[in-house]
Amino acid sequence: MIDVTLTIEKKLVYEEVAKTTNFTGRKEADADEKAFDRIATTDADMLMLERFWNECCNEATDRLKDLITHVSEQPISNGLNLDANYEVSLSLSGSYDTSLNDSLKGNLFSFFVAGVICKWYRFANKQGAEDYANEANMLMDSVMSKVYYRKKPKRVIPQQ
Amino acid sequence: MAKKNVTITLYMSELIYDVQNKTYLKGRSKTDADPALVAQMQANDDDENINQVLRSIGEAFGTLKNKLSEHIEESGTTGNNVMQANQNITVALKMPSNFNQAAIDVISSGMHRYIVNAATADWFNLTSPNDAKPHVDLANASMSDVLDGINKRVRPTRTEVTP
Repeated sequence: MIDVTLTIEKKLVYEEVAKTTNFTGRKEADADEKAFDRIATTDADMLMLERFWNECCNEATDRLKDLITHVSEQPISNGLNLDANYEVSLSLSGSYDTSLNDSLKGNLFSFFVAGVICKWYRFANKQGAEDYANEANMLMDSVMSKVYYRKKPKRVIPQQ
Repeated sequence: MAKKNVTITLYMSELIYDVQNKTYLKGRSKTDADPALVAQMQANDDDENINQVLRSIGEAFGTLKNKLSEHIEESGTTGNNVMQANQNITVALKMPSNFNQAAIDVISSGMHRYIVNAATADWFNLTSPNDAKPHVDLANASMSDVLDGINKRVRPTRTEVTP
C-alpha cells in the first residue's frame, strides 16, 4: 500500500476565494453597482466562510472515507482559526501512481475553493452558485479518479 | 513400447501477470464507470488481491490435474493448500507411446489459458459478477483444447518384414 498525505491550507483557500469573488464583483459592478460590495468577500465575512470550509472538509472526508487512515479535526467554533488546515492521510493501492500526487493535491485544493465560493454565492450571487457547485463536483470526481487510478501491471519475464 | 514422459511448466509470474493484465484492461475499458468500481475490478499485487488470485489459480490447477489424472503419475501421498507467487506449476504427464508430441504446445498453452480464465472468472465473480461468464466459457473452451491435445496420436508406421 502507498500512504499519501494531503494538506490543504485554509489561508490559501480563503485568499483564492477572495481573489475570485473580488474579480467577479468588479465584473458584475458594470451591471449592478452594489454587486462588488455584495459578492466580494472581506475579512468580516471570514466567520461565514468558516462554516463553508467545514462543510467542504466534511464533503471531502465523506468521499474519501474508504481510504482515510487519518484526518485532521475541524472543530466547529464561533471563532476564526486560519491555522486549522485540512490534512488527510490516505492508504492507496500499491498500484497507485505517485506522480499524480501534485495533481491530486491541486484538485483537492481547487475543490475547496470552488466549494466555498459555491456556498458563498448561494447568499451573495445566486446565478453563479450552480456553476461553482458543478465545478466542485467535477473536481472531486477528478480527485476520486486519481486516488483509484491503477498503474498497468508489469510483466516480469521468467528466467528459464 | 515405453510411455512418453512429457513435462509442462507453467510459470506462476506469467499466470499472475495474465490475470492482472486481463482485469486491468477490462477495468480500463469501462470509461464511464465509477473509479472505485473500476479499481476494484483491477487485480494487483496488494495483499488481499494477490492472495485471492493465488487461491483461484490453485483451485484451477486442482481441477486441471483432476481432468488429466489418467496421465499424471505422482508418488506423493500428501497435499496442501498453499500456493505461492514464486512457486511454478509443473505437470509431469506419462503419455502413451503413440502420443503426438506436436500437441505439447497446444496442451501447455491450453493449460495456461484454462488457469488464467478460471482465475479471472473467480476474480470477477467477486468484483464484477457481470463480467465473469465470458471467462467461464473461455476456461471451458481451453479445457477442451487441452483434452484434444492429450488425445492426439500418431499414425502407426508399418515396418516391412523381409521374409
